[in-house]
Amino acid sequence: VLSPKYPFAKILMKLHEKEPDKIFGAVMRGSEIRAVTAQHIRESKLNLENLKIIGYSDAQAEDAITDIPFPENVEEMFGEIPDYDEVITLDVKAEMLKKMTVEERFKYFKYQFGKCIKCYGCRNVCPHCFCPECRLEDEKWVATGNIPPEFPMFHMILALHGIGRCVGCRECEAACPMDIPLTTLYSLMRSEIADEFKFVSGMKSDAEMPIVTTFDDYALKEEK
Amino acid sequence: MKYENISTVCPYCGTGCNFYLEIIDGEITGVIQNKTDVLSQGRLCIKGWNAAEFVNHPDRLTKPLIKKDGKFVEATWAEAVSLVASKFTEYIDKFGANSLGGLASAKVTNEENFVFQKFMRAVIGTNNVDHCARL
Repeated sequence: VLSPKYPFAKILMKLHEKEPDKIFGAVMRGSEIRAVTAQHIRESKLNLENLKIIGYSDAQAEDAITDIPFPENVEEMFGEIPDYDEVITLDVKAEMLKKMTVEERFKYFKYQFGKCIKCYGCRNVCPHCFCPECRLEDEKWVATGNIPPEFPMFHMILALHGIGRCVGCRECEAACPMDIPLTTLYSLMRSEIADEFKFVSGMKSDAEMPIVTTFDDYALKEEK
Repeated sequence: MKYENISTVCPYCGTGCNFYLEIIDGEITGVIQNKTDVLSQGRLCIKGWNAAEFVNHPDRLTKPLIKKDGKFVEATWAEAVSLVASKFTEYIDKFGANSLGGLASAKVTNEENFVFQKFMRAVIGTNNVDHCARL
């Protein structure tokens, strides 16, 4: 079943860890292919050579927007890719936030993150979260026993770890019991990365991540 | 390698969220939300996300323990049950049936909880029964 989506890239990583030499065949949605591709670039958590990807997209699905942009590193392709213009599709809330002042945006997110019940659901479904020791469970970073978690530490750690990695699968928002608009924040981040570095996470298997590589060059350019 | 998802109900509270247990080669490795579940809509709380952790936890008690000389000692089920039965009879004779009360667990099935409350009312003879999932 491909709709609704499940944290498929995460499951695949788990299986790959268990059987690193086996070749897996997988039917995946656009965001899932981007997620595994980004993992391949990042920490070699997944080896794309051991993965035969069959792409699938359903333009009618409720979460069809996450399939865009659809990666090209697929063996076969079926289904209908939805037709959207933007490479990074911003949502309605993100457009609204763009028109606000910094103070208004801060207030907005402070309210939204104040709803958090610290279920770690967003962390659990994120295809980029697999560290054996999570910063969010570390007392040094996030004080234990507080609900909602201290603003902005908890959510900023999660957001900053997603810069240049977030593939926009929207699993975090779907898993949030408190309806925190996480993808709004992340889509704004992704559009910044796309504008500044011409980089869309998970689109090319041989690309290097801007936050690791380009950052030094970028800083030097600014100084000149 | 065999990967399975088994649908189950969260054992922690009375809401009854459904989710899938991830099972690799017969061993529970995690929890995945069930997005088609009408109750949770794929949104679990922290207890739901960690609902499978106790299954293979090293601290989990798998045998009954009886306190002897201030220390817990492993015992057989027959020993444990007969000790509990003798204490129950002792207290009922001494203080009456209402000196006892029963707290049931949410981790067992509805039917088992039915049997438990029946046992408290019909066998022990008290209405002091409650359940941890009574949210």
